[in-house]
Amino acid sequence: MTEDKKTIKVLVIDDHPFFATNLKYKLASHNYEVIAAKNGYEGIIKAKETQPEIILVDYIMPEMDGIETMQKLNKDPDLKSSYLMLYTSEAYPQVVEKSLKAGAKDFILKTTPFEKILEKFEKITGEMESEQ
Amino acid sequence: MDENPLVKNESISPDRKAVIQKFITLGELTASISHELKNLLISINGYCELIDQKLKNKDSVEEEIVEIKKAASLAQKIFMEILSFSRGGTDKELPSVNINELIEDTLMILQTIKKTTFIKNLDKTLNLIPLDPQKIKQVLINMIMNGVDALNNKKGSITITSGKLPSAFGIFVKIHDTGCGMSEETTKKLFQPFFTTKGKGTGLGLSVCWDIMSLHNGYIHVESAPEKGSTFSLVFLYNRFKPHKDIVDL
Repeated sequence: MTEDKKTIKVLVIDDHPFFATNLKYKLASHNYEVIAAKNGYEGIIKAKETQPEIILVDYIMPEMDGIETMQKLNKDPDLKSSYLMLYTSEAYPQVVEKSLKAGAKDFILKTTPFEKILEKFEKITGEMESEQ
Repeated sequence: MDENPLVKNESISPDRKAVIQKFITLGELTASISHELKNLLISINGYCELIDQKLKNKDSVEEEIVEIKKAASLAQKIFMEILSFSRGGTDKELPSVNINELIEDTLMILQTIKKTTFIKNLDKTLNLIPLDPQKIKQVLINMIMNGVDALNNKKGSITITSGKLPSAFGIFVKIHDTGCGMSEETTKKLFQPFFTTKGKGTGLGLSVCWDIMSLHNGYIHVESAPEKGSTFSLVFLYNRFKPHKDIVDL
């Protein structure tokens, strides 16, 4: 008998809806639930509501950019266990550095092949499970 | 201060300087425009891949097609505005234009600067006025970009208001930013060629804007104070010879 695997929640905060839709479709058969937020404000509310294991944050967004969003998510005591990542189309060193300072643990390029993204998620969730 | 030798060359005519300044402005916008277009193109390409997979699984693809249309349409609008801006004007008779439409077109390009909130407060009852749309778009882009620079990468807003002048002398467009503002001394020098407070600036943007407004029987009125933001008013007069004593203080 196999043990039921826990569904992993991934919150994608991005003003371009494609990036959440894409992951939602591709991750559906891998026991992941993808939640979409179109800006930083909505992202923070959804993060608190859903307590996702992984949060992906776009860099350039209207009103509240990715860095400010990550700073706020990182400071929230309810979200300490969420793995925060920058999700960007261009990983300029200064942007990556800023996001790491804002609380991101890593970054993913939007052009990364899905298999590599899945590999990364599996590694992150594997480490989370072993820590518990 | 960075100096652009082309725009400082006195043998270059004011018209050529205006063109050079326009391309410098476009260059300043390139990073935000290219980021936005890159995301739209990744989205379009990605939705196509999703459709391919979904069709193999016999899933519905209507949602993806709607999103592709939206992304392609937005990318096309941004491209068209950049092209229209870079082509420049002609010497033909000036067409009668609704200034609100120029403001909307200009914001289509500038919406790619996502950190800034743009607030529109446009008077829908304005009369059409004869003007060169490309040149006035250049003025609007310059003015709004100055406002964005005044925000110094901090969160803030730019409010664009259009309206009629008192006594039906003409119309105005006010561009207000919540940025750092300027001292009285800086405000006085603003329209002098080559005066700039920005390290990356050429100091020509506002003097070119002033020339363009003069050619349109108009002028620029500035109100500013340190830490209180700035308001630039573009004033278009219907008749050059009407007194405008009561329209200076908008």
